[in-house]
Amino acid sequence: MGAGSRRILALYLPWLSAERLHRTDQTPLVLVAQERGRQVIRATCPAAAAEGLHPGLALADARAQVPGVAVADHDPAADAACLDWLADGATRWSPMAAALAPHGFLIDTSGCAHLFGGEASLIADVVTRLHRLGFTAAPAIAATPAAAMALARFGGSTVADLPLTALTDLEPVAVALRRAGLKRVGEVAALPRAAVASRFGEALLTALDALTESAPQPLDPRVPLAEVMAEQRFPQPIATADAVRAALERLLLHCAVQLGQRGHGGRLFALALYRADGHVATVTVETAAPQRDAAVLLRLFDERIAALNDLLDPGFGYDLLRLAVPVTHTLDESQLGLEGGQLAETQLAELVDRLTARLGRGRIRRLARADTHIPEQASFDLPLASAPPARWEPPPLGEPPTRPIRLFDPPQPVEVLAEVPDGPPRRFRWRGRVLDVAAHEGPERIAAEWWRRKDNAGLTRDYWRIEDGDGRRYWLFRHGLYDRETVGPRWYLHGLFA
Amino acid sequence: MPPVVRLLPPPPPDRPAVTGRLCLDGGIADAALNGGLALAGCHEIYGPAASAFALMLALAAPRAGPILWLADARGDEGRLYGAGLAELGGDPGRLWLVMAGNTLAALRAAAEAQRCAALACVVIEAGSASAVDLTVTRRLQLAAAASGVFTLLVRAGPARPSAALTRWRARAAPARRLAGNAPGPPRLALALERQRGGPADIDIELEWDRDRRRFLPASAIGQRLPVGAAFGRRVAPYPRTVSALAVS
Repeated sequence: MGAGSRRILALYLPWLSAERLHRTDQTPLVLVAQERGRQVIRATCPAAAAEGLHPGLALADARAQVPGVAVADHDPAADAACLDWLADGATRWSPMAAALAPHGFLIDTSGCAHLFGGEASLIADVVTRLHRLGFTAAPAIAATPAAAMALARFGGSTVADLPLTALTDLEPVAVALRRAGLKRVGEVAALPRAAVASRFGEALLTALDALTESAPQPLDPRVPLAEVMAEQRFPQPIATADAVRAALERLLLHCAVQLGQRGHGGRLFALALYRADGHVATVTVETAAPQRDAAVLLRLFDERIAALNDLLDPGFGYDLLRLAVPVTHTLDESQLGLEGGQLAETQLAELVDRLTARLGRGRIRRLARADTHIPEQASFDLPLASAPPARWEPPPLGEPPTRPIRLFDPPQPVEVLAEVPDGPPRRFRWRGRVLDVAAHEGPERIAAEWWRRKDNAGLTRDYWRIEDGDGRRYWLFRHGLYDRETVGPRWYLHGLFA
Repeated sequence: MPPVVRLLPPPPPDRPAVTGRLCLDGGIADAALNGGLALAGCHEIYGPAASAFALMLALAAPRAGPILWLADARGDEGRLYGAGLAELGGDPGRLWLVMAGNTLAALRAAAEAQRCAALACVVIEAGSASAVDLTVTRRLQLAAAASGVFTLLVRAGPARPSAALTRWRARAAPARRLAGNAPGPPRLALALERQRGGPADIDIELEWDRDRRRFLPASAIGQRLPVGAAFGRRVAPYPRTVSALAVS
């Protein structure tokens, strides 16, 4: 799509900071910020503007002018968040919507205005909805985001007629332009580019290009664009869980058909629920393997919605549901055949998906192994999805287990009584109890991985398998070789045997 | 003490396998259990060696497939150790750990898992959670009976009423001694405290045979085995040194 054919709708919200507060009384309101030791107006409401208060005015002067003026703190971050929220809601008209703080937000309506009865009725719909939310918006359509926003802010029909404020906010540049006798954007655009750049700076040229569509300006969409997508609009908003579920099922079937035509299965499914009052809720489901079975997906969504911390609040109802599949993978028809071992595989994959949807990604884990002698690093658990099954050596026949089934990480310090400092333990105290050693085997000597450390530090461990008088089996180690590495080696309990 | 080699356990006594049952001692306990522990059911285990017994039962279960282990959120008994599991004769890759976070989430996940007949076993570490009551255990038991998924409930204490098929108290028993007074294969002292519709109050001592992944009655294995160096793999005396990398 060429730059000329793009139709970007900009919505300029002049009173955003004030209107965002949803006040009910009509007293003039100014939003102020601290600036060099005094309070300066940053934004106003329409009523205050009508009284002659404007951004840049000191609050003291404003109070002198309008004694009863209401004052609130200016919060640019909250304004930006509000714009993001509005841009999220604007994805109902086009998936390409982006906030442009601090002025307003943009919707790329290229090729989708006809879905709403043409550009005029699309704009009317946007403005009406914003008005219902309590926001005053000035719309404008142009071929580039910057031009659309400038036209929305300053009015007019062509970019050439725009005032120079649309080009720069910097006071010195504006003054220089004024001194040169320039008043309109068109006049600057008519000048030789090199002259403009050398006299007023590169930045002005960049701003000029943005307005006159000679530079590409991608919109940064709020939601990732998906190739596979289905949506359903409701003239009468739906609010019941059953209705939402039925609609979701239809959308899943639509997406399943699209995926089937491509020979793909989805890995990520995102359901966006657009509330009539502008709020958008998103529910996502991830699958371990590519999936396009609508029944299975519906069940995953059920799990996910049931596990949501803040339950979906339909408010006055949803008037648009959109299901997007941003991540897809090839899924051949043959893989859907369910026979014998494959049936079990499928059942297990579905179980993992359901548990993942319910509990979260990292909650289902598998024991992985690493090539090291250090016991606590030799085995650890990783998320099931990210860890392929490891190969473990089968233990030698006829030997008792030499590794515990439970490992304390970090090891628990114990007090040990040994006959000789480098001999086996005789008695030890753990968790306040004194335990006698009835049988022992060891030591199994495990050295620190000195080759990994520059300073050759780390103590050798002597591991002992211990059985106490009641038959409980422990894995104890002495940290450091007596006399060679340390004089007072400490003892630790590292694990419990079966 | 003369050097004695470790020996392979004696050949297994002949035990006719009963379908759908997990053979324990081949003696009084199996007789009381009508041939073994019912695989399509929920069994409750408590005591100091409860999770060890559950692990062995899960490994002994005949069905291949993953063991779903719903881990206790507290985890004050240490984490399950893969190398130790391999040493117990199991494939650690078969163990799927589910960290549900709380008991309610764990029970929901268990209900989900019990519907999946491709699992070998579901182990629920419930600790002392009060949420696991008669209703919950009945639900677990019904689901296990319906799908045939072997379900084990590991609990901290015996006090609560339960609808599980059996209730076991498991603690470690002194292992037989190997050469050099080394502790031998793991041994458990088990008490069958309750059985629905069957005799109970049976005490058995089982030794875990990791090479064949089954239990052997401790009474069938002598304390000291005949000397025969041909069978042994390694000879005392100790200490042995595994990765002697200490730098002197």
